[in-house]
Amino acid sequence: MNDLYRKTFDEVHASEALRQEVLNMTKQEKAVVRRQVPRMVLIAAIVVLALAGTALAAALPGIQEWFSRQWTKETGKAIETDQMGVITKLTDAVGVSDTVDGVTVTVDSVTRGEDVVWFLLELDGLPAEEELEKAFDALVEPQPEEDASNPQKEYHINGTDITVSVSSGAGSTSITGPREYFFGSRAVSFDPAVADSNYYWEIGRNELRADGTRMILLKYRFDPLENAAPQGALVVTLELSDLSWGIFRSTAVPVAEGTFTLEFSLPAIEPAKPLTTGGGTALGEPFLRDIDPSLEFWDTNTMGPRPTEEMAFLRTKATPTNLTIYWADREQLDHLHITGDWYLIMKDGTEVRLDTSGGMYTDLPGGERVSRFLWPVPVDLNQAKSLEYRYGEEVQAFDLK
Amino acid sequence: MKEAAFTAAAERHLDMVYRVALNWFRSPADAEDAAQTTMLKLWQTDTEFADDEHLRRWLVRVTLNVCKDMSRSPWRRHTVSLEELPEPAFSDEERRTVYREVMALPGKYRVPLYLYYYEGYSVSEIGELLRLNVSTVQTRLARARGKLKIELTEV
Repeated sequence: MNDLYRKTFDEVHASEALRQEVLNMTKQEKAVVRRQVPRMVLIAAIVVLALAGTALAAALPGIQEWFSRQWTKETGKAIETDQMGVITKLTDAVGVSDTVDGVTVTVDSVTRGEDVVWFLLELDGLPAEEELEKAFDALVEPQPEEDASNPQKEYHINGTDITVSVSSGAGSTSITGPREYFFGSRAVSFDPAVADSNYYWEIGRNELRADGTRMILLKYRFDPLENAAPQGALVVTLELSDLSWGIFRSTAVPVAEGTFTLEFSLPAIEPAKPLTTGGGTALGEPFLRDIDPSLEFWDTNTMGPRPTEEMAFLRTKATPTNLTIYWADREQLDHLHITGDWYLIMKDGTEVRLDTSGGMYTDLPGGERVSRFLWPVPVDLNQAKSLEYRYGEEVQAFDLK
Repeated sequence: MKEAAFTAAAERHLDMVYRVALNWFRSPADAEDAAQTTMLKLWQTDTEFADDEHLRRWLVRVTLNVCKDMSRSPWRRHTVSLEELPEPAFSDEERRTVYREVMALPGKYRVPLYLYYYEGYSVSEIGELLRLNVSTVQTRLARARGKLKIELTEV
């Protein structure tokens, strides 16, 4: 009997990276409990860091350079001094390293928001890329049926399209496609604890600093624990495992097998005063679509007509790193689809578009739903004028105070 | 849940959790998010499982609930064309073709199809898991079979 369906899904597996993330869940949970650093040790660590800070302050942490470039990419403008000042206030130079298999990973600098931490990492002692290329090539198995006359072969391996060029002379192969350094698994704990169990990691593209040093930006996004102070004084333990080179969640060559353990202290940051749009606001019908009731939520390719109701939210709250929206009626979220984007409009006309790709959602006890999104770069709220919601030519503006 | 039991459960059932989520979302990235959330709920649960079948059913139910919650987010809804979706690597072209045909089905057919033909749940069990009545499940399975160009073998 043809059981091709079963055989097909026999070959569908969770990635090794996911497997490691899941197995590491137990380690992370227990690590938070274990690492109860005595308060006096914590204070001493902060004092030492503060004394060292005067020397470190002379060097611009690399993560500020990264945000500066991101600001220009997002807004089309060079970053202003005051805007950079906001990023500086949220950033600490770190300089802690660990070495595994001859590779040294250094936490260059850290930027913190209410529900996000960016870590800029520096990698040293990496093998020559020619060696990695050879090892990568050895992992690639050509598909069984090839067109021998085609000097370029297309393979599809673990979800990635790879083009293989066959050189006519030596018969060697080389592979083009985006290959980078990444960590197979990542875990972080904070003391005191600040993060809920709902979190995710984003790994930024590899960058090369002007001096040729390889840098990776990691973003850790989380739900804060109630009454926690993510911008307070913290001891941070970052564990990064299985440094690899290749295509993330696909074909990759191990570079350093083992865990880099990086522990460091961060001082308290004074939180900026947030801005709010106030109460009684709503998104109007140009931005909304009824979800076709005949389709279920997984059939997202079709949207219904524009509704006659507005989508009310109680207020929004903007901080330098995020925008929180307090929806009035979570039932509306079940049958209305929102199109469009949020923009922060600065006094000089600069526009910063909210990054809605990694939203975090919480249901409050009173029935409200809260959505939280990040600005792509921490913003100077002193320069913020208003918030706008846009879809095509439609714009709805909200004053910030 | 105790660490040893969780690790054993993860080794045995993570693929199943991932496949259910993949059939829901089609996107491996979203499926991985859902799988991670589901396994975290398993790690944190106090539920005493009578046996492995009880655990497996619990995981399927939680995965479906997680997928449903993720789908409700207004900013998670977006249109992704089939051509843009990454695919697993398959050992032969025939299996890749089957995968593509399955992923081209509407979501309301993909999930019951997987639960029935791969995980071996009955129509009534699928109805209970998906909160659908039995006739709806039967109709969807029939329509899915009609759309696929392969024969499907009952488990």
